[in-house]
Order: sequence, then C-alpha cells, then structure tokens
Amino acid sequence: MKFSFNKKQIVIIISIFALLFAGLYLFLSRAVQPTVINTSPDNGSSDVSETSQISINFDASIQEKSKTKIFVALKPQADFDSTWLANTYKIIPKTNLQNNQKYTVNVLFDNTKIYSFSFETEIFNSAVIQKYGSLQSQNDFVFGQVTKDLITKYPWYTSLPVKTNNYIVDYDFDKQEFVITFLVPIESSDQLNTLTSDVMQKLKGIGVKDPITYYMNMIAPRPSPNPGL
Amino acid sequence: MAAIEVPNIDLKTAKALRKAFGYFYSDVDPEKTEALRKAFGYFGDLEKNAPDIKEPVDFKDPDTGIAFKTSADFRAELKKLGLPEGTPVKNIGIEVERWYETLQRGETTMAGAPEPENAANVPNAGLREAQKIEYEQRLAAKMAADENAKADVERMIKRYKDRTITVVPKDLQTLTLDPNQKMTIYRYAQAAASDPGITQEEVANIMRGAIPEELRDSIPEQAIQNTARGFVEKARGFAEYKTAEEIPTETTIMNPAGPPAALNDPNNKVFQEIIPEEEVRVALASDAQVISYAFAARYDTETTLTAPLFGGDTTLTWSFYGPPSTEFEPVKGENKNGIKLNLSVIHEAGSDVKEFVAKVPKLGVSGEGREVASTGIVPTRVPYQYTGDEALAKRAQGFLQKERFGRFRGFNTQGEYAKYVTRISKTSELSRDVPVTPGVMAGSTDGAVRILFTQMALKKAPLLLVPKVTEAIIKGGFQTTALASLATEGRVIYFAGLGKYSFNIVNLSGASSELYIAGLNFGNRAFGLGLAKTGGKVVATGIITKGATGQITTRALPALFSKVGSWLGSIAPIIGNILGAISGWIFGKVLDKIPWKKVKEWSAAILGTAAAIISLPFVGLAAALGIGGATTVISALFGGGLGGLTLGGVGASVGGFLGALILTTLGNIAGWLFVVFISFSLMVTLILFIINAGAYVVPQIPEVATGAVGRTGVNVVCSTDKGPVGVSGPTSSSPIANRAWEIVFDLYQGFWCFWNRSPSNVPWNGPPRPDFPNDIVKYPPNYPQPIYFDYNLYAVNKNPSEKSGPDLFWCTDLVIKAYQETGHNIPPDLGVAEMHAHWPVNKIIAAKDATPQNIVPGSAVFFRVTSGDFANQLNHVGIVYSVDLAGITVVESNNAVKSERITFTFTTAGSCTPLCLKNATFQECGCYGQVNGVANLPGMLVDSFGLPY
Repeated sequence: MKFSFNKKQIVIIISIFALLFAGLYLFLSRAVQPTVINTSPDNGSSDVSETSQISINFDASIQEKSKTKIFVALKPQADFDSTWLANTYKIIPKTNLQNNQKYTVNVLFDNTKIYSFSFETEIFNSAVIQKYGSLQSQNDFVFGQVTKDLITKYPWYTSLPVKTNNYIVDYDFDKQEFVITFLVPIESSDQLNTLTSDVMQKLKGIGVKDPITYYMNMIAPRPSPNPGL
Repeated sequence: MAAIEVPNIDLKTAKALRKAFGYFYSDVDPEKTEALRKAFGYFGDLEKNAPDIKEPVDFKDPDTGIAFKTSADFRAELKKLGLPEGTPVKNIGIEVERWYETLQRGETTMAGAPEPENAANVPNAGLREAQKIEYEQRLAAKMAADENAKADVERMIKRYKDRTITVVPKDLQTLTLDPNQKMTIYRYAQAAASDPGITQEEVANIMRGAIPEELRDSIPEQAIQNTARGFVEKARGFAEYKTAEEIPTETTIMNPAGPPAALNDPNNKVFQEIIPEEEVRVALASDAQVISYAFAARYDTETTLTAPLFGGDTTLTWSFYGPPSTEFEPVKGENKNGIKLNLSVIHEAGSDVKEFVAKVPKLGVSGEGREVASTGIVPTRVPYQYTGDEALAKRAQGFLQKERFGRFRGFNTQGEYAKYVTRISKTSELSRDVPVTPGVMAGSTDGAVRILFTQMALKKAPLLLVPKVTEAIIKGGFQTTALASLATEGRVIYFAGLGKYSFNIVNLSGASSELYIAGLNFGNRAFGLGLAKTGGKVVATGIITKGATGQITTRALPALFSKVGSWLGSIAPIIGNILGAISGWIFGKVLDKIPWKKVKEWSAAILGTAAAIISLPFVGLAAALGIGGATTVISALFGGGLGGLTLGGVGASVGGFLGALILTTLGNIAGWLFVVFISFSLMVTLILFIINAGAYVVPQIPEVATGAVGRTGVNVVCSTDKGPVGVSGPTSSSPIANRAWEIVFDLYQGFWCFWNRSPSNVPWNGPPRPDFPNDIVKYPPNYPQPIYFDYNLYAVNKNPSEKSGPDLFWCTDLVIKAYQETGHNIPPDLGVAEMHAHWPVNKIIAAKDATPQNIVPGSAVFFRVTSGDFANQLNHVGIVYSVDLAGITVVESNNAVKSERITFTFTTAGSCTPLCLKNATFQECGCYGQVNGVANLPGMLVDSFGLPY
C-alpha cells in the first residue's frame, strides 16, 4: 500500500502538527497559580508598627512567569513600592502606614484574588509618642501622686462607698462630711437611728475616727411625709 | 586521695610534721576555731578553697629542732618523704596525721577511707587491699557499736516516758499595730470572711507574682496553696472584729519553733539536772532541733510567701505568724508561764522528722534514697559590702575563700586539724548527696551548695551568691526559700552574674542577725540547718554530739526542705503530734487570758449544729495537745473564773503560736482527725475554738454584718502582683465599662508603681524581647511589650523620670482600647486634652451637671489636679464603671489605684439631721436633696464626663 499526499494534504498535516506543538508549548509554558505560604505581618496581627513592610511568602515552586501576574491591593489604599526577593513579594510603603488602622491585603494572581490577610497598626506612632507621651506621663504622674496623697490622708477612702440594701455612704470632700443616701423609705426615728448607728459602726470599721460628721439624703420621695418622727 | 606508705621517720618527726602542718595551715585564734572544731563539719571544699598562704615566719619544733621557713619548705620536705607534689592541703593534713597515728600505734600503715580509683597508684597493692579489708571491718564494727549505743539510748529514753521539761520564754515580744496596719488586717479579714475562695485565689496569685521569674518554678505550688489557705484562715480570724479599731493594738507574739528549740543544748545545766544521762540529752536535743527546724521551715515558707501581702511590713507579718524567733529556756519544776515539753513526744516526733527526712529522696525528687552525711557550723563573715557587679563578686568570692580557709587555721593541734580534714574528706563526698538538693547537686558537686551555705552565714551584709551558686539555685532551687527567709530578715540577696533580686527588703541588715550554718547529725544521717548567733557569742553548734554546746535560736532558720513540695504537707501530722508538748503552756498560761465574755457570747452558736463542722481542725488540735479528757480541761477552764479579761494580749500570743500550729495541721490530718473527733467532747472543741477565736484563727465566724464594704483591697503598695481592681466585675451594664474593667484587672504595677504595666505573655510576631513569662492575662487580648510597656527600661529603672515618657499603658490607652474593642471608633489620642477635645461636644457633661441619671457606665471621666505646674489642664481620664444614686465608681490605668470613687454632692434645703427630724418632717429638714454635680477630691477635681459615642 502506498501513501501519497498531495500538496494540499501536506499543508494540512503540517498545520495540524504545528497547532499541536503550539498548544503543547502554550500548555507547558503557562503561568501556574502560586500558593501563599505565610505573610508578615500575620493575618490578624495587631499593634503592627507604622513603619512595617509587608512580606508575602510564596511556595518555592513559584514560577518567574507567575510572579509577573501577581498583584497586591492594599486597603485602605497606600502607595508602595514592591519587589521580589526569591519567593517573597515585598511591599514597601512609600510613607508610613497609618496608625490605628486596619489594613487588608489582597493578593491577586492574574486579576483573581488568591489570598487575603489583615492586620492592625499600632495606635500611636513614634512621633505621637514623642510628642504626647512625655506630657501625658507627667500628667498621669502628677495625678497619681495626688491620688496617693489622698489615700494616705484618707485611708478609708479606698473602702468607699459603704453600701447596703438600705443606704450608700460616701464622703463629700466639698462639704467635708459623709453623705448617707438612704435607699429605703425611713418610717420611724427608730429605723433612722438603727440605720445611722449601723453606718457609724461600718465607718469605724473602715478606720474612720470620731467625730464622724455626715449629712443625709433621702432619695425615695414620700407621698406624704411622716411628721413628728 | 591515695594513701602512701608511712615514710621512714620516727614518731617525734611525725609529731613535728603535724605541728608544722598546724603551724602553716591553722588559725591562731583558738577561741574562734574551737566552736568550729566542735561543730565538726564543713560544707566547703578545702581543696578548692584552701589557697596557699604566705608564711612570713619560721617554724621550729623545739623537741626535734625540725624547722621550716615557709610552707613551701614544709611541703618540700614532705615530698622528700614520699608525698606527691601538688598534694592538696587537706590531703597533706590527712597524710601527716595518718603517719603520726600509725607510728604512735607502732604500726607501719593505716589507711583512711580507701579510694579504689587510686588503688593502682599505691605502691604496695597487697598491703592496700589489706588496709581496705581492715577499714571495712572497722567500719562494720563501728556501725554495730553505733547501733548498740542507739539502742541503749532508746532504752534510757523510755525511762523518761511522759516526763516533761518546762521551758519558759525569755522574752515574749509585744506587737503594736498602728491604725493603718489594723486597717490592712481588717480588710483582709473582711475579704476572707465574705469570700474565702476568691480571697485565697487572689492571695495565691499575689504570692506567685512576687516570686522572681527565675525562681518561680522552684517554689512548689503546694506550698503556695497551703500558705494561701492558711493566710485566709488566719485573716478570717480577724473578722470577729467589727471594726479595725477593735483589733488589739498590742498583742504578745511568739514563734512556734521557740519551745522545742530550747532543748537544743544537751549541756544546759537545767537539762543536765533533769536528765543526767548525756546520751539521752544528746538524743533529745537532736530531736528538739529537728522539730524546731520543721516549725521553722513552715514559718519561713509562710512569712516569705505572704510578705508581699503586707507590703513588706514585718509587723503585719508577725501579727499573722509571730516573730522570727522567740527564745525559750528550760527551767526546773513547774512554771505557770512555761510550756511543758513532753519528752516522749519530743523524741517520737523528732524521730518522725528524721524518718521523714530519710525518705525525702524517695519522694520523687531524686528518685532514689541516699545516705546523707552532714557537716557542721561554718560561721564566717563577709569581708565587705558587696555592691553587685561580677568582678566584685569574683573578688569577694576569692576573699571569702581565704577567709574561710583562715578559719581553719589554728586548731589546737595540727593533729586536730588533720583529723578534721580527714573527716571532711570522708563526708564531703556524701554531702553532695544531701537528698533535698538533687537538682542542685546533680550538676554542681564541686561545692556550689556548700559555698552557698557559707555565704548564708554572712553578717550584716548582703548575701552574695557566686555565679555557680546562682546557677545552681535557679536550676535546683531548694535554697530559694532559705534565701527568701534571709531576705525577709532584711537582707539583700545578690545573685552574682544575674543581677540583684530582692525579696521584700525590709530593715536591711538586722543588727542582731548573724547567721550560722550547721548540720544536724543523727546516726549517719544529717542535714543542714541555719542557726543564729546573738550577742557576739556562738550560741549554736548545730551538731548534736558529745560536748556540743550552745543554744539554738530560731532566727532565720532556712527552710531547707521546702523544695520538696510534699514536705510541708507530710510534716504536718508530725507537727500536730508535737503539739502534745505544749499543753502545759496553753493551760497554764493561756487559759487565764481567755476572753470569757466571748465564751458566753459564742457558746450557743458554737455548740449548735455548726460545731461539728467548725470544730474539726480544733479537735485535731485537741488530739495533738494530748488532752486526755474534757473534765479536767473544763474544770481548768472554768476554774479560771469568768473574769472580765480582755482579748488584748491573748490574740497573738495564742494566735501567733497556735495559729501556726493549727494551720499546719489543716488539711493534713483528716484521717485521724475523725477518730479523734468522736473521742473528745465538744466542750474541748469549744475551748480550743475560743482560744483560737481569741487569736487569729477562726474557721467559722458569724457574719460580720449585713452589707458589704463597697471597695476593698485597693492597693497602693508596690508589689509584683496584679492587685484587685477594687470593685467586683465585670458586671457593669456597659460593655465598654466591662472591657475597661477587664483590662484594668490584668494590669500590673509598672513604672512608679502605678498600674501601667501591660502583661505580655501572649505570642507575638515581633522581635524577641525580654518578657514577663509568667504574666497572667485573664481577659485577652492584651497589649504586648514593648509598645505598651517598655520592659527594657523597666528592667533597669523602675522609676524613670516621667518626663522621659516611657512606653506604658497610659490612662488614655484604657479608654481607647475599651472603646475600640467594643465597636466604638474613637480617635486614638494619647493626650487627655486631645482626647477631650475630640470628644463630641454634645456628649460632654460638665462635672457640676452630673447626676445619677445623665452619667452612664462607659463614660469617660476627665480629671485635673488643682495645684502645681500641671493644674488648669486635663491630666487624667478614666472610665465610669458604675453609677448609683450616691456616686460614681471609676476604673483607670496608670494611676496609683485601679479604681476611684466620685461622690455626688447634694444640696439640701435644711439640716437633715436626727435632731431636726425629731420635730420636723423630712421635707422640712431638707432631706430630699438635689444632686448638685459631683464633689471634688482633695487635690483634684472632676472636670467633665464624656458620654459614650
């Protein structure tokens, strides 16, 4: 049996083979979607420095061609430079990240999101700390000293208020008197005496010394005041 | 060391050599070394610590004319006689002594303990083998003799069954509490009484937090839990006092280790008169020592661990646990102020302790039992105040070694020294195996622990631990409590190479504190014991042997055994048993001070159904006290009359003593407790209850009163624990306030002892950083270092200039975090003024307009101080945690407290007083006040509130 091709047939066969080879070539040289191994900052990190760079580490098998198809989107938007270091895609913000900001990084491959992670930056940047840290420290320090003086002079202050179901006792530093706020209606002088006596005992219990001066406050208004207690 | 043949010298020459050795290598102060010699032990390693000394003088033996100009000449002569060059000093002594003794007996050879590894070097191996056999035979004979002697002693002791010796306190100390101290006690009492479980947990947390990070693993959790439980029980004992003022101002206190320690000295004249047989006295003294030691171990552990609870205030510590020492002495006959020590109990209990000690290695620490040999007292002094750096540490170490070596110079004869050194050489190997120190000893058999022990004897000086010891401690840690006990005394402990750690430094270098190290030796087992010296004389020798003199005081006994977690628990029944010895004291001295008024008051309650429950520990005590029946006791009790004796004075005298003892028994004697319980009447229980209720240990106290103190335990004392917030939570109606409470709960005291140290034991992705690995974060997330706390700075300076603005958890951080983490996106302003400026104007309420209705939890509250450079500007901010009709409770960070109370001020039309109300109505007396904003606080005022947005 003898095969014979005419010219037209030969062209067709060659074309088919050419297409096959081209297809095979395209298949073999296609960009494979890479895999993100880890990132820096980690997903969910907080208190990330505003000067941080962002690194995305890919699987070691990432192809050079694939690298060209990777893009990163930062939310909120920020200008940055980027570079590849081996399998790591490094994002270098042109300016510091915003403080107290949650950033989301979307990794796109061939315009398709293949990975996403977020992190939060620290609340204060170094400039803020430099500017306000010293001042606030001084303010807090002064305030703390005043507090210590207060407690030294009035050690029972830390035990206030004295609370029961019947009353709350605080100290009115403006009036320099304890203030007893009754939480229940006072029906009789005996009841009043009992409660105030109880208050006195408790105040002494927390270290208050005689003479204990106080004023009272009836919170619950009474429809008809009980005269002549 | 390999023994060599005795050289061909005569006895006189050998004697001269002994003298020469003593001349060059002994001290010239026989008085000093006598006590040392008697103590017969030494933890140090002479080979390492006996450097050559300079010899400026000649030695000449008048009998033989043998002379040496220097020790080098002396050693050269010895070399000629066959002693290898480079033989360590201690071995020189051994050899010279051996030569002398051998020649004296007319023998040609005599071996010390043969050392197989060196046997090959012995010229005459056959002879060496014979020496070995002889040695073993002698050893066996000696052991048999020891056993026989021991049996003889036991027989003699039995003759003294149930005999007692009364010991009386030389000086019972009086404790004086000031109002602040009473208040501290009262607060703990209230907390313990109202919620003992939580209090115990918090107390344990505080104790844990106070332990330096490096040592935390070395403190057994069991010891912490036991101590916390004991603390709460003691605190509850104070809850009987309705007010802080009611707590007695003056009370008598004592240390429970004092009574048994009084029998320490077998040569005590009174002791001799009562017990003529020296062997018996020696045995009983040994028993008394270990008993007092057991008490001391407990005492040290408790006082050390609880010191942070008292802010280092030793008076408060003593109010709970008694003083570090109380010296007792034996007296003849009865004495109403004395304690009767039952000799049988002392002996049995002492034996129990020893038996327990022998088992220590089997308690899971070392994995195997080991024979323990011990050593003795090593008094020494630090040459100068050590200030902390490594170079200085090394210098001090070298100096100290010389000093130590120097102490061994001057034995009366060189032979004594040689014997002494021989003994050391034999025991030092064994001393490595002190069973409670395997962790340390395993990696440091070259004397680290022994050096430590010597270091512990420093007088009026910081305790210096050379690097090796530091390492050993951190690895093994058994000494931790011992060191801490010293620190409690007010010593600074320097861990050379690792910086300085201080454990609650109080009253640095107590004037009377001179510590000694001793070994207790019973049979062929022994362990170390720290003793005290007072008044410039040696008062303790530590070794119970014939001729031992001195008297133990219980100051700063190191809790050697505290490393073994089970020790404290296991020793408790023994201690309970010991209590049998104190009945005389209790019923002779204490009962006449019982607060009889309280007997009446409490009888009904106590004898009610609750009695069975509450009495358990005290029935246990009853058994421990050896009370044979209620009748006698009741008779004694009521025979004392119901006079109006006051509580004052009884409390601590009983509480400091019985309290400690009872607590020792708690939780450890349940087994036999029940048996005892059904054997004794409730009246006994009642009596004991009363005794202890009058003291500081009351297991069940009636409710103090209805209602509770609003905030408790607000801590302004610097400590390493979290400290309470001061208000319970998180129970606010506001998520913001609850989150703020949680954050504040987790804060530690940082710079300036303000609450600004954000814990940081959570993983983080930043660079490695120094940390507080044991920080506890109960309510994550937390805020890591260094952003929220500059640990690096803190490590070197806890009180930096506030102007430097170190990273810390500012007051504004609290507001920002509490808001942002609950979905409120407020601007992150570090400065309070900026925060206030950014707060929506319509959410700001001026302080004068604040009412219980318009201020809500979660609001920010802005403060300012009223004077100074920072007045007239906003200084501080907190979060409103709760609002009630009378005031506002605020939580905050970076302040001296975690919470504050702001009071509403009320305008009243009249004078709402009982006097007015006698003749007028509430209305007429102006009792229905109108809120008029919030009151200012001294030195500060509330500027405004920022409602949540």
